[in-house]
Order: sequence, then structure tokens, then C-alpha cells
Amino acid sequence: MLNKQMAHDILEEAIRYSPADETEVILNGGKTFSTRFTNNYISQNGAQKEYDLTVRVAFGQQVGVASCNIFDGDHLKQVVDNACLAAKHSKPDQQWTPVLAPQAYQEQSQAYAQQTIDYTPQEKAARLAPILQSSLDQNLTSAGMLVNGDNMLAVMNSKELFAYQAWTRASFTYTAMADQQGSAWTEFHSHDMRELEIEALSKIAMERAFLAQNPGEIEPGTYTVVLAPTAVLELVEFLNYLGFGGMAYEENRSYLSGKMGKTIFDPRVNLVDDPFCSQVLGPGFDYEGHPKQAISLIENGTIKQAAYDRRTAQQAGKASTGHALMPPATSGPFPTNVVLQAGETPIEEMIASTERGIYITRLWYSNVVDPKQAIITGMTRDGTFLIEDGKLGRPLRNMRYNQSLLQAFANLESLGDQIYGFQGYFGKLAVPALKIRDFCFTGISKE
Amino acid sequence: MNEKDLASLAIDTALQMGATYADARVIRLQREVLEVRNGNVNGIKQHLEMGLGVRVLVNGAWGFAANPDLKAKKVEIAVQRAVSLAKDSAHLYHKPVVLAKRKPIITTWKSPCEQDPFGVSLEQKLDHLFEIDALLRGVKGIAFSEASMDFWKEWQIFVNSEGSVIEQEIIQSGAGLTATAVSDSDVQTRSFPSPFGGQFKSAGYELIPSLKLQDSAQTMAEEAVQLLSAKNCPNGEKTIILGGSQLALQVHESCGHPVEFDRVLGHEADFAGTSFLTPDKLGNFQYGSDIVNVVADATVPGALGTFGYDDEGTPAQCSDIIRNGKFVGYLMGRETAESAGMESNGTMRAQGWNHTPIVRMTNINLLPGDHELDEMIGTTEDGILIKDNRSWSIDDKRLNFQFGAEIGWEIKKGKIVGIVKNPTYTGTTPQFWRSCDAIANQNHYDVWGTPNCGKGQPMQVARVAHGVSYARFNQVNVGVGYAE
Repeated sequence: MLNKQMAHDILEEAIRYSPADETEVILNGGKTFSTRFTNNYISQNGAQKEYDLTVRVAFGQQVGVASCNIFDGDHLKQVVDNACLAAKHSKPDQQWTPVLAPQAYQEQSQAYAQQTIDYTPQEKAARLAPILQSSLDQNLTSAGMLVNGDNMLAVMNSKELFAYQAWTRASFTYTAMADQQGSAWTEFHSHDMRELEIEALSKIAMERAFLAQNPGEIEPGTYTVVLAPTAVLELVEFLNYLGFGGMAYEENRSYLSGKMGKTIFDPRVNLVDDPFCSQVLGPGFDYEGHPKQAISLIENGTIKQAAYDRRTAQQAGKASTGHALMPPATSGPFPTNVVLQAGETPIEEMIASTERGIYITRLWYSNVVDPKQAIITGMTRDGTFLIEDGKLGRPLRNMRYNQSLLQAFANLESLGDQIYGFQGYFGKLAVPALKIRDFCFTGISKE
Repeated sequence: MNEKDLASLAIDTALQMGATYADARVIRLQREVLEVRNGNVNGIKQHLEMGLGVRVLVNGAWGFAANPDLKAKKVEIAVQRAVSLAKDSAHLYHKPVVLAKRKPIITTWKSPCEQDPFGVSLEQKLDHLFEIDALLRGVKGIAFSEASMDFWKEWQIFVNSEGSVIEQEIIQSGAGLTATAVSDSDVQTRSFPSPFGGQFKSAGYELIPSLKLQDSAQTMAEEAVQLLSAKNCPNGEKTIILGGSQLALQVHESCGHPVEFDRVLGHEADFAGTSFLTPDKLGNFQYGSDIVNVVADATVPGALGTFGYDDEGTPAQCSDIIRNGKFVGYLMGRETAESAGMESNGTMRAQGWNHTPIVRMTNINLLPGDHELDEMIGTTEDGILIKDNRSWSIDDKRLNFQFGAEIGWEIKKGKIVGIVKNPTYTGTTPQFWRSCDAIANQNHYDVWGTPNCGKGQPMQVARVAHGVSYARFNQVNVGVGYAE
């Protein structure tokens, strides 16, 4: 891991090479140790080390960006030269915002758990062995991945701003497959390997895989659904992605454009972006070095604010919320540490209070149908069950949904009493289970 | 030490440490991405990277390690790590990996390139993008205009313990435009030649003028504005004609992925999924109608999924996937092929130096038929011509899919009667391909680059392609994305 001093030295050297009026340098990366298993054996065991250095320079309003993955003197100078060359040949960027002055940041030393990165591949194999043996003994097929690693992000600019944060990563994803098309899924993410209770998680998934065998069908239509947190994840990811990017919001492309201050969701919906929340820990600054703080995106069902970097904030006449992404960030800023706050209802109670509905373990391959109406589609996966008379009933084939998120979060029946953290496509998320009425299914997966 | 010496050092070290097989790849990548948006430079990024990845078989199990630091000492450390990881894996192996046999190859290969894009000035590239951007913004009602270029040069040396030494250089170029119109209740975008960055090929800068972006800019912008007030795609069963990159993505999702043999064997079960194409179906499953012929062809000159040798050193080749509607072949590597008593058809590729090779698509092509597009439209009673993908989704066995596209043209009694917005359609893979009753001829055929194919854990992105013309499908459920 490149520690604070090492990162400082590399960034400082890069800035020294730059003849530009303004220079901003970002260094990020780390190590990843991934142990992947399929068919009850370890099929892939890898160690990767990867760092990237990104340089953004400005001559007046002429801006260029270059990046590289090697940082010795010659290469460092070359990447700075490339950024300068790009800038000098570029046209003036009318929306360029000068780099930030030095800032104060909230330290997050708890984000780096040394025992996570010290966890050896031998220890991982030893922990997986009884799980895979149990899977074999039960005539199940197990697939998944156990990962540990670390990351750092450092930002420096020619006004002497410097920000640094390191953190560790641990994750376990697991699929148990039984004969007769029964499968179950679990996942857990943390910065601390000690929090991964992989034995308990896999045991539950194995039991569920048997229950999911011989799935039947149900007519597509609207149903009350109980979504496990692993399913809620995709809904909240798109709720965020389609709605809260400041660029899309200001350009009237967001489904929330024009709805600021309006109550459009169930009053129990509270969505925050908070890199200091333990389930979605992240750096307390963005890729411009702007400090982050917890912000409310939705409060009691009312839209409170979108996320801005300095460029989009300047255009909108607002202040940056600290959500700049890696330059050139052509799609603008997004919240990356999103938490849908918990309610009060245990998931068991959600099921028990459902006369007829569908339990969904996981949503899969969700994608946007209509960005302005916030309609998304996707499939259920790895454990879809009918709920009848307050109990999990027969397993169902995977089903296709087409659902407006505006309606879904207005049609909340209850929120789970606990949030779980995940790594999503656009950042980290923490969500509870949800019960939603009138969820729309349009098809079934079958040959 | 040069790159070949470093790769050879990795192999020698691995063998000394007990590996029964090892391969190493040293890669240098150069990339340039330019985007102009609304008369402004939205991003110019130049990227350089290099590194070494080493894969070893020890006691019948795989280990892999990668390091960007190309010093002899660091290479040895990477090999030690890979060997150690393989030994850890081997404790839990119940069946040692066996690789299908291959003769060693010593050769070099380069993709065709007339003009190195990295030798073309930024001014020239930006001038062209600003010209296109201005044409888009010249159309009243356009809220956002975007024009982009993307260039890629990857040099690789592959060395393995069987004596292969293969040097390859691949240069790829891409460019495209989008025009977006916005109202308070709607956002509509048109793209050319294809959404998500445009058309990509293994070619030099000569690709850019050949795309003639400026000739289509105004039409795309006008269509985006028209779509705001167009009627929505109707609901119900219709005949559909798919063209261009939309048909390419249909092939990608419902033909390309399900024939990946590693999915079939369960290697992707925890992430990308498995496949409905179980081994018992090979050679006796009616995938599509008898006019459907699909090949995996990594030898197509200038296509994005073209290479000389895959990342196991197997020569690029063309193999049948679907012949006269029957499913006849998988995409395989040396390990997966051997497990079924077959031979690799050269499809193992890795994203760069820091990932291990996995089975990937090459150019998965739906071979052209013998129809003219006008004839296909003229013989359609009630249908929609759909182009240019907006959204895609398919289940983990690659059966139930749903696509959305930028634009549709409604066909009534053999004539196009107007455009429709928000076209969506859904189906089940074999039923859908069995309903295919016409495929357009070679005159309409192009190979569409798909530079963003995700698969694997950790996730890898591959650059693949699909040759298609137009194809017609019957009794397809359309308009489903807006179901009430």
C-alpha cells in the first residue's frame, strides 16, 4: 500500500514537473486478493496490484487529462507532459473551475483494518474448505468469491491541497445450487475481514437452495413483494443513478428535475449520502479534494438535494457537495456512499403480514427503460418464492419486472429494521429489506 | 531486460518452483479518449499503462499474479505469489486441471492499420469533433450534442512453458455522435453510427473519415427532436425487424454469452450466470429457424474482436456456433475444451495484464441472408423496424430478455407509416430465434464493435464485435417496458 508519505512524494514530484497554470494530481489503487470457487473447488486464485495516477492541468481555460500506472521519474514526467500537450491543443473550457485551496478533512483511520490485508490466501482456503466440503456432502454445487484487499486515494494540487485516505475491503459472494434448478445467494461486504461470517451465511444459502428446487410459475401481474436487502440494492442503485447526479438534474434529464422540495415518495423514505456511515465507509473528500459530509437526498419522502462537483455547482449557482468523480468525469457527479435508512419492521414480520405476495432474494441485470419516468427492468434470481398466508411458499421461476421507481417508493408497505452494506456499480450502498405493493412483473424465464 | 526476457524469466522461475505449466503476458497499452459536448471540450484523456500477468499450474491448480513494475525482482515476486496461490488452491482440488494440447508457436501479428491514430494531431481530431457538434446543435430543439473518439493501441508479448513466444499489436479506433432533446416529461436521444461511443473497429484513424459522421449529424438531431412528440411504441404481438447495433446486441446477449462453455460448466455461476445450452443440446438443439447461421470468427479483418492469437496462444479461428438453425458449437479455451474432449477454438482473453484469461466472445456473427431490406419491410403486414440500443437485460441462463431502443419505425401493410418512441421488446431466446423468417443480404452487413462486454470475477471488460445485417422476427411481444 502506498502510505500517506509515499503518495505525497509521488504527487509532489508530478506537480513539480508541470509548467501549467494549475495542476491537479490524483493517485488511487491498491491490492486485491481474490479467491474464486466454482463446482466446490477453488478455480481461480489471484493477486493483483494496481495503481493509477491521473494528472489534470490547465493553461488558462485549456484543460487536459492524462493517466498512467507507473510512477518512476521518466514515466511521471511523461504523463504530465501528455496532460500538458492535451491541454495546449484543446479549446478553452468555458466551464473550467480553478483548483481548490487547501482544505481540512475528517480522518477515517477506522476504514483501514490491518487484519483484513494481513489475511492470507492460506487462511482463506482454510475457511472455505469446510464450506465446500459441506456443499459436496449435501450434493450441492457452490460458487463464489472471497476477496480481501486495500485501496488508497490521494489528491494534490498546485495550490498545495493534499488529501489522503486508505481503506481495506473484504467481501464474500456465494451461490448455492441444488438439483432441479434450486439456487440461493448471499453476499456480505465490509472493510473488516473479521465481520465476514461466511460459515453462517453459506449455511443459510445452502438451506435455501433446497427450498428453491422445482420452481413453478405464477401469472405475471402486480404483486406485493418482500425484497431482501440483496434485492433492494438494485432498486436504490438506480434510484440514485437516475435521480441525484447534479449534471442530469440541472439538465432536466433526471426524473427528479423540477421536483426539488416536493414530497413524491412514502414519508418513511430517507436517503442520505454519508461516507462516514460504517456500512458505506469511504474517503471524506472527492476527486477534486473537496471535503465530503453527510447530505440528505430524500427526507421523509421529500427531495432535498442533488449531488454536485465544483463544475456543475458553478453552472447551477450552488455549492459543491463534494461528489466529483475521476476526471474527466464526463457524466458529472454522483453520490457514492448511499444509505436508505432503516425502518422498524423485521423481514420475518413483512412475510408474516403478507397474505399473498412474492419474496425476492435478488434482482439481476437491471437496466433503464425510461430515465425520465424512472422505469427500470430486470430479473429475479437465486430464490424467488410465493408468499401465502404469511409464510414462504413454493419456489417460483425467475420473473421479469418492469417497474417505475417513483411508484415503487411511493408504494412502500414497510422498511426493514436493519441496513446491510454492499458494493454497487456506482459506489457503496446500504439498504434494508423492503415490502412494496403493486410491483409489476411482465414475464417468466423458461425454455 | 526487455519485455520478452521478463516474460521468459517469469516462466523459468515458475518451472523452477514446481509449476507444470506457466504463461506470462507483458502488455503496454496506450489509449486516448476525446469528447466534445455542447461546443465545449468535455474531456481529453490520454492513458498509458504496462504490466505483467503470470498464470501457473501447480499440482493441477491455477494461480495468477500481476504486477505493473517491470523489474526482474518484482517479476520473480509475482511468480512466487502465483505459485503460492496455486498451491493453496490445490488443497481443495478434486480434479486437476488438464489443458488441451497445443504445439508451440513463435510468431508476430499486427492488426491492419493505415494511419496510426496516435500520430494524428489533437487539433485535427478536435476540429472534426467540433464540426460534428456544431451540426448537431444547429438543429432547433437539441439540448445536448456530443461527439467522441476513442483510440487504443495494445502491444503484448505472450510466452509459455511449452515454447510459444507470440508478439501482437492491436490498434483500434472508435467514434460516434449523440443528439439529445429534452422536455419536462421526456428525454430522447439519437446516436450514430451506434449508441455508447459509436462504431469501433480494429483499424487506424482511417476509420474516422469513413464513418462520415458529419453526413448523419443533422438527421440524427432532427429525429431526436421528432421523438419527443412521436407516439409511444404500441403494446402487443408484432413482427419486428432489427438492424444495426440493436441486432448486434441481440446476438451478443442471446447467442454470444450462452455459448460460452465456462458458463455452461458453472465457472460463472456466482456472477455472470450459467447457460440454458447444456452439453446434451450440442448438435441436436433447434436454436433458431433454418436460415439462422452464427459463427465465432476472430479472423474477420478489421473487426473489434479480431486478433492473431488468444491469451493462451491458440490461433484465431472461425468456428460454427449455429448452423442452419442447429446449435453446433461452444466458445472454449484449453481447459474447458479438454474437460469435454474437444479442442480450444481460441477464445481465451484477459482484460489487460492484470487479469487471468477467461472464455470471451470474439466476433460472433449472424451471417447475412438473401433479402433486401425494402423487401423485408414490403412483406411485413404489421410490424416495427427497431434500431440503436438504449437498454438491455437478460436472465442468468440467457433465456428471458428485454431490449429497449432509441427509435422504431411502424410498418403497416408493407409500408413505413411513421416513427415511434421508446420501443421495447421481450422474448425467450430459442423461441425468438426460431421465429426469424428473413435476414438481409451482404449489402446491409457490417461488423459492430462492442467495447464494453463485462464478465468474470474480478470483473473484466472485453472488446468484441458482431457482424449483422437486418433480421425479421415474428409474434414478438413489444411495448412491454411500459406495462401498467
